[in-house]
Amino acid sequence: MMQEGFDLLLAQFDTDRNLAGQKYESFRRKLIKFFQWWGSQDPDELADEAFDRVARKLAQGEPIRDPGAYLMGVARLIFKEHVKSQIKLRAAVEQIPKNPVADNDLVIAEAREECYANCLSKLPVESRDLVVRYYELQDGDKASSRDALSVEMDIPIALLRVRAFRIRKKLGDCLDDCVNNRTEGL
Amino acid sequence: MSPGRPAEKQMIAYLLGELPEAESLRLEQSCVHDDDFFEELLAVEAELTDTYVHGQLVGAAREAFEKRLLNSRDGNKAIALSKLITRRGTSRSRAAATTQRNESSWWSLSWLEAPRQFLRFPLAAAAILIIGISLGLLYWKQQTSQLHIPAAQLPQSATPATTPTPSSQRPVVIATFVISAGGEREAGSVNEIRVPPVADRLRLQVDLGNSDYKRYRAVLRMIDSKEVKNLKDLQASRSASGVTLFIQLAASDLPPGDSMLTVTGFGGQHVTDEIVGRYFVRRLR
Repeated sequence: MMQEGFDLLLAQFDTDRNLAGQKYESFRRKLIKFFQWWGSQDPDELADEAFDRVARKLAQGEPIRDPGAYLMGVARLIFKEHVKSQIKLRAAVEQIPKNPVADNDLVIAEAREECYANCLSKLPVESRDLVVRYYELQDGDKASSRDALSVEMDIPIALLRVRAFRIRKKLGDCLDDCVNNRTEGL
Repeated sequence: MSPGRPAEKQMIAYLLGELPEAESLRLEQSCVHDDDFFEELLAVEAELTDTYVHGQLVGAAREAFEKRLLNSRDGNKAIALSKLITRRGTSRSRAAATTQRNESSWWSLSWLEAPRQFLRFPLAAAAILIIGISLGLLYWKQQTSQLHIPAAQLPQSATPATTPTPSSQRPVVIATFVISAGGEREAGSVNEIRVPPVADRLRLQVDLGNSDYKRYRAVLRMIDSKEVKNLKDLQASRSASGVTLFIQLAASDLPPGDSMLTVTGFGGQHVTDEIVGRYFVRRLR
């Protein structure tokens, strides 16, 4: 991405460059997720391509009123192009044999188990209790037990869901780091 | 996951690709402008993964999930986390253990909690049953009149491959323990075993339920992570009552204290290896 285009892009997000940077990261995370949901295997690459194109448009002097909406439009266009190119590759890809089960899988599975326990123990007590109560499989109706938890905590169910998810996300990040560290070099 | 609330229902439909395009575009725009809404969509995706992992997503929805969400770079990681986070009992017992203490090691914390777990699962405790020692032990008992373990507890498979030996030696004594508590669903239960001083070998009889892997691997580790035994390529015995794995080791291999037995299955109809059970074993002095 050209510096001029990037600067113009950031300026679209916010006049404060720090805030603009945060918004850029936030948009990028969202775009990556959308590309994943649409079925892309290269979501990061496609998200960066979307930013590049918008930056180029800005550098060419094209006015953009709503950068978020504009980015989404560009992203959809890029994905359609991506799908077309993938169709051409599909026949070749289908001929590639699927990965056999590697011995390393076993080591990774064990590392994951131990890492999970470790990561869980690092959480603050309240977070740990919440994530366990919210997600752990129980007998009976999960929705009802979550409703009960929301009443007990006196917060709306949507907020409870997001709170539990944030902890889950932390747990997942910790798990990834730990497993990567333990299985480095395999 | 029951898609009861309208927003939730819409989010699930979007994630499975079932939402009409116009509504999808609206939802995406909402995500772009509303971080909270986007985060809730991520949370719904995580719960949808849990639903899938537990086989509650069927038919077209299951296919759509596999096509759209599972087939992504992070799909396998999401599945792995989902299996761990929703596992019944395990998280709670670990969390409870760590709630009580401030030490950083989960291993030690779990075991500090062990007596309480033991009381909490009386059936599990009852299942920690010494069901037999070998005929060699009886033979030796006859010689010494020091042991009082009923012959009825001896499994057929524990018959010693020994013959009477000179008076300075004795037959190999195998102590068999049923490890029926624990596993993925009830991990946290403690298998306490008291090994007779005369036992030369230990035989752990592990109940694997309906597990259908072709081969198994068993790793026994002390709580300090020191590996006691690592047995690869084990075959389980199958009967009408279920699948059982027999693990043998020298009595001296397992020191007194707390250990964790992890059984992993691989092969058969399964594409990936999977830990089918974790069993807490405490050897009493």
